[in-house]
Amino acid sequence: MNAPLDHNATVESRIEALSDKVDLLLDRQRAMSELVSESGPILTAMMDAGTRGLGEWEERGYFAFGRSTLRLLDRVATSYSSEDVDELGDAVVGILDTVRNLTQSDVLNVANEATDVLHRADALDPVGVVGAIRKSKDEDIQRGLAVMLEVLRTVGKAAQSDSGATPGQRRLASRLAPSGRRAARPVTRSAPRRRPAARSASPAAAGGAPKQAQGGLARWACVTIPGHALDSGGFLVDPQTWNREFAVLMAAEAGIGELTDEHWQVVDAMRAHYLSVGASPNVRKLANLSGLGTKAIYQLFKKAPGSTAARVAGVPKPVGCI
Amino acid sequence: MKNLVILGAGTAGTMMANKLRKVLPRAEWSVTVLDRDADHIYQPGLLLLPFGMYDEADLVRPRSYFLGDGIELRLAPADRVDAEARTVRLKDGESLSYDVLIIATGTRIAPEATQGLCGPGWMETAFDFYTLEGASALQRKLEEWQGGRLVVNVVDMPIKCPVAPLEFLFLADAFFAERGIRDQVELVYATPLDGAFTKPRASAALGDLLEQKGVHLVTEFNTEVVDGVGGKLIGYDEREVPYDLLVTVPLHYGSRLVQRSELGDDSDFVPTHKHTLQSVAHRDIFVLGDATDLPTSKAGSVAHFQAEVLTENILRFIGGRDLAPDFDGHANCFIETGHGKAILIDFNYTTEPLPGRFPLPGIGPFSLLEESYVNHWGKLGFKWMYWNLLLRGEDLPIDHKMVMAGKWS
Repeated sequence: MNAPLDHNATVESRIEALSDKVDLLLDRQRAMSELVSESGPILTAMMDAGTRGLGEWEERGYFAFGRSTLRLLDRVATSYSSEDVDELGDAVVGILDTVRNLTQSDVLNVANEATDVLHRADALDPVGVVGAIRKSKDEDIQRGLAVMLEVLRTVGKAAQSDSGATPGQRRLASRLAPSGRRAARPVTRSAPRRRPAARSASPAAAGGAPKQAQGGLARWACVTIPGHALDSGGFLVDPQTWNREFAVLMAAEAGIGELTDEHWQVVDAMRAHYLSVGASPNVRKLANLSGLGTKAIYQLFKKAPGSTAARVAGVPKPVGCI
Repeated sequence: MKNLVILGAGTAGTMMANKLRKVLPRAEWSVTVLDRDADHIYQPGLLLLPFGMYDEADLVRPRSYFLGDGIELRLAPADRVDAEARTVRLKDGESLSYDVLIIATGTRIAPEATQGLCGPGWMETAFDFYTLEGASALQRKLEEWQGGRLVVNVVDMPIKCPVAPLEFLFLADAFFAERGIRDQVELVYATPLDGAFTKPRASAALGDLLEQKGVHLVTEFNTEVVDGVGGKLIGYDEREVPYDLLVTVPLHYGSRLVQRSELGDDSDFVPTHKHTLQSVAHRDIFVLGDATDLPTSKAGSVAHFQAEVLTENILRFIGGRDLAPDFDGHANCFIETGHGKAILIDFNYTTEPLPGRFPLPGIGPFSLLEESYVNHWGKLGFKWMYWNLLLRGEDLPIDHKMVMAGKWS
């Protein structure tokens, strides 16, 4: 009799232990689903704020600047080796040294006083060669001359030893020189690595689009109907400016000839649909709306009747979403 | 007790039921969802199914999984809506009365409406990929197909997910390249529109994509007859497009229930106010998702953005307040371009798809109107979001109104 009891007790204790775990699991599950439903609104608010903030950056041009900088970096990386960049780094250090020397207070004082003189230039009397010799007796002028001559000597020496620079330095100098001097350098290396074709700018794509469109769409760019602005596909820009005279003129342009009652039936149905729904009906819908059937629409409006009827009815061309 | 009845437990209906159940007091309102069958299909996956990127089991789950506590799911075919009597009559004779009705019955494809399409060759050399059966049959066909002339054809607009036929072509290009038979396959796109890309910014950015993928374009082609024996499409203008394998997007109509209830237009789509989503004919009927006649894309993202506006508007309607004209036609679609990349587009009634970054300006991580790997990962990751967040009516951190921030206009 003891054995089953023991057994029951074991099962009971196991179930108890298990139920604790189930409770824990359920608790976690509840916490998770709470997290999901709580974080929804928070995320929405964060996205809102983030979108607004980043939108401002976009508007100020931060990202456009960043993208151009990346493109610049890409060009630098493709036309210079890492050695060149290291040398450029040395040069930058040199430039910084120069800037530091130039901005020492005594140098700046000299420069400031020199500019003062320039400001007072009007008040100074002109000096000829004799005058200059006379002025050279002045001690300050003599000191100034000594300084200028020393500077001249240094510049002359540096100019002579330019040939003594390392080949790397000379190459760098030539690269850094104004564009005319390095036009012959193989910078064009970067050309094939430009943007991928998919993002190519409009000229190329604009060339591709009409090719796709076929059907002599280009012809419509030259068609004008007095008093009505047309887009490049021959569709009325503002459907509100449509009138029956326009339809007659457009039908002639589209090669339909005289508009019969059936044509008008289609045109009126098309306009009514556009004005109520805000989208141009397709051929099938037009066939139903006008009550004439698809085949008749083709007979009335010839090739591409959807577009042709839309031109005559002064509504936008039927489009997809992209 | 008042009754809210939703017709259709697809993407739109399921979202609406879950969102409304959270905000309608349980003591006052019952929420009933009606559908004719038990399976919820992840429709974006149907595009990837033919290429073996998903299998059927990935895309089907029971509708009941996604309808939370306090929502009654009725699986029964409906006969018609009697809008005057405010009841939905079921085919078994029972009727459900409603105080507010939401129509979310989506679309049906109608291959039978094109002469010859359902005739010889249907599901042998001519397939659709808008149904589970079509997409699966196509998967089996593509596995063994040795090449030839593959024509993708849109019979007429509107269609669900208007970019899907293009995506199919891009994925086919990559699929056959990977199988090593791309040079044996000719890809043709026959569309009733005047180009694959009809909006200026998209054609500027993507115009040469078809050329890159080696797709031949036949424009303004309106299919009249499919000759399954001779293997060719014949247009109303008597042009012919021959094919070895036809992947067609058949005509789309609204649900037959809408037709029987005389609530739809000539294509059985329900005339709907474009900013409030109230039906034009009846104040207590609201419509969202593919079932509307609105001039925006028929896509899950649209249903999602509509659901947010409609939840608010149903509360307003019940409270006797004016409806908010807040729906702006916002749509957001991934376009798979093959080889692990995709494009993302974001647009509404008045703004065409523009290049930029989404959702965070300058950062993204998604690129608008531009191919990127991240976009493709987003598409793949979306399946989890769909099953676990979107259908359950959770808030996603994407505004239902399109924002211009991040777009380069």
